[in-house]
Amino acid sequence: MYDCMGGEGGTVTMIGVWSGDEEANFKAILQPYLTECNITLEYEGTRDQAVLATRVEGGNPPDIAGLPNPGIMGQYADNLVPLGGIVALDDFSPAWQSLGSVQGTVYGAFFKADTKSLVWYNPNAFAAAGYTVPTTWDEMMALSDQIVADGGVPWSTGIGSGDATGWVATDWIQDILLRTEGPDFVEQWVKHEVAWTDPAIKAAWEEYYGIVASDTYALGGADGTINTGFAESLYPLFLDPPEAYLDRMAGFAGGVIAEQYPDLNEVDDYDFFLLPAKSDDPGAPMQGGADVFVMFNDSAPAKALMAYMFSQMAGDDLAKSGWGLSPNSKVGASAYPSALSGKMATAMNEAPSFSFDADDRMPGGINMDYFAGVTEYIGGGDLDTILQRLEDLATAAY
Amino acid sequence: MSTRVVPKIMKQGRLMPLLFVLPAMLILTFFVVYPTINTIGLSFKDTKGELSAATLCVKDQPCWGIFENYRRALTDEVMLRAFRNNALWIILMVTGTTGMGLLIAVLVDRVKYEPLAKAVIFLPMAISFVGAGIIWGFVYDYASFGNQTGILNAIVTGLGGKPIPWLTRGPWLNNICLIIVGIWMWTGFCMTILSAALKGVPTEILEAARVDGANEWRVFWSMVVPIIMPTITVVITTMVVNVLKIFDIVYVMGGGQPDVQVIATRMYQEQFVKYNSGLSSAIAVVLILLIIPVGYMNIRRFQQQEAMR
Repeated sequence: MYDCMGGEGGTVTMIGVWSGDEEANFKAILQPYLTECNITLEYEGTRDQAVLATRVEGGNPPDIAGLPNPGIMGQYADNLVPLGGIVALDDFSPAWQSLGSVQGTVYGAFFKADTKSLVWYNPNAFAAAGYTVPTTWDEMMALSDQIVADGGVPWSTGIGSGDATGWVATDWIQDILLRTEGPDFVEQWVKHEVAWTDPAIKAAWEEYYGIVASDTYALGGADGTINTGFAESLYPLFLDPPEAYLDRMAGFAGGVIAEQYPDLNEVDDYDFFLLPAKSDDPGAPMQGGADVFVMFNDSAPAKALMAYMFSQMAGDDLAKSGWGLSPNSKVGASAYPSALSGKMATAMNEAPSFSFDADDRMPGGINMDYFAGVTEYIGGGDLDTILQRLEDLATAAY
Repeated sequence: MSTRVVPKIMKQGRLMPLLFVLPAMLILTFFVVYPTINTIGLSFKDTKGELSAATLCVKDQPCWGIFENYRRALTDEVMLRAFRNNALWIILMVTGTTGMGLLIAVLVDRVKYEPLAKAVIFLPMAISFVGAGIIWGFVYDYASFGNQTGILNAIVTGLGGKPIPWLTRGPWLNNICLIIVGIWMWTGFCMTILSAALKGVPTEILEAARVDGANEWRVFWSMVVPIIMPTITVVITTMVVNVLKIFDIVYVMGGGQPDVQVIATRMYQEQFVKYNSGLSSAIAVVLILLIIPVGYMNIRRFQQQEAMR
């Protein structure tokens, strides 16, 4: 059943970002293989990227390392082992392969991912009002206008999150940028090759503002957006009668709804659609997070474990565990215990591209200023002033 | 005549007093002097405390060289708002707590249930800032759908009004709502100290004034207030220092909005959220420089009062 690839009896060292429960989940997925092939895994979980950097500089890297995003891969490219011939790369979509590549060579493979570019809705409320799920941005805005004409409020847009209020808004703005300018533009923005004052970025902020600060489009208008917690923003969709119909929220929203309304059934009572595209190119890229693994040593046991981690078997076990989505295309929607998770995984692996959270990857803690800035803008702040402030901070930070 | 022999151990050399203060000096050096000097040093360094702050300068932008962190601490737009907010806090909270404290102290001085009334006013002092922030967060709660669970908005909507986002409507309402929490917490402290001072006012001279025909208003402003003035000054300066370093209420209730930040929360954000130790240290030094004159005045006043006794 398991192909040990000559790694029997060996030891693999690994540094990953998971600890605690997540580490236990991860090890539970690998355990059957480790036991069968008698491979010892020495795992160290840390969020501190300096640990890995120091080990690599000191000439003592782990065999395998897990990174929170592929942007970090570049600095290690000279030390990495190409994954072609070790991992079944064909099982991953071209979008995933290209994200794991440095200058055309695949060095990184993605183990677990989550999704953000989703719009949650209440199918019962849609059926009762005769609304259908929009497939383009224009249809979505036409639906919004239809809901307004019918006397309802289309969007629930809460961004409240204590000290980090505003992060939901930054995800929204990135989704718009992905649909107007595409993922490459977003990567340039992350590297500050595109200024914060760029007209395309300003336009994305304004388009977002047009929805969430509008008294007709958003529940409670600008005040409602700022003062409603991001999780609570899902509730009005399921009131009777519904006080709002649409909420753009990440994949975890399904769990929030299930906990708040235990009587509701997924798919029948709550569901999501992919935030639609504005045009065929760049289409509707998926925004989210994913953990990428790289190899520093191609010892037989390390190669064997790497091959197993990215096999359909491990992907199926990941799906079954309910811990996250597998980027492996061979892991079918039916492998997931929840139909919504399966649908999410399919949407993710079929998306034309995958984009990591931009502001999390910017230096100097600029994301906190971004959160605060976008909240201020929704509350009536001057956009040019705020963008200029962020541009000044970015100029100093890079 | 016999000469009294002083035991050797009771003879004080030059060294003895120094030995007595040594433990205190050591502790102060370790926990106050060293961190202060270190902070001042870091305020001239970059974000990681390694290179000179001058390396933070950006080409074609204003630059103060090694004082670059101070340029940001003193001219940055968000920092200017923090200074403005701190000034508002000082004006409203110091007058609010001292004024209310004095008023309550005078009023309860004349009633039988004085201890009970004072205990109730003092009670909020026993609640932590974070606890108070959470409690008042409920009071100011704003809901964009469903029922209003915040009592203020329940009243507003009950009377037919539209709910008000108390904590996010800037730049004045949100700050004032936070300052009210501070006044609620600290009035009891001011009241207790002022009440003790009031008890110390000799009744004979007040009686004399009344016999001479002064009404209660006149007695209060012309006799009582001048007599307890040193205490009022100490209360005011203590409150100014307290308000300058106000942090908890804004941290718990402010939700990170730039509109309500104060100096201390900016310092925290730079250090612990953005890991920018240079700028954070510069803000800390600015805060110390603002507090030192007030603290000095406070100590001077205290010494004068002691000398009067």
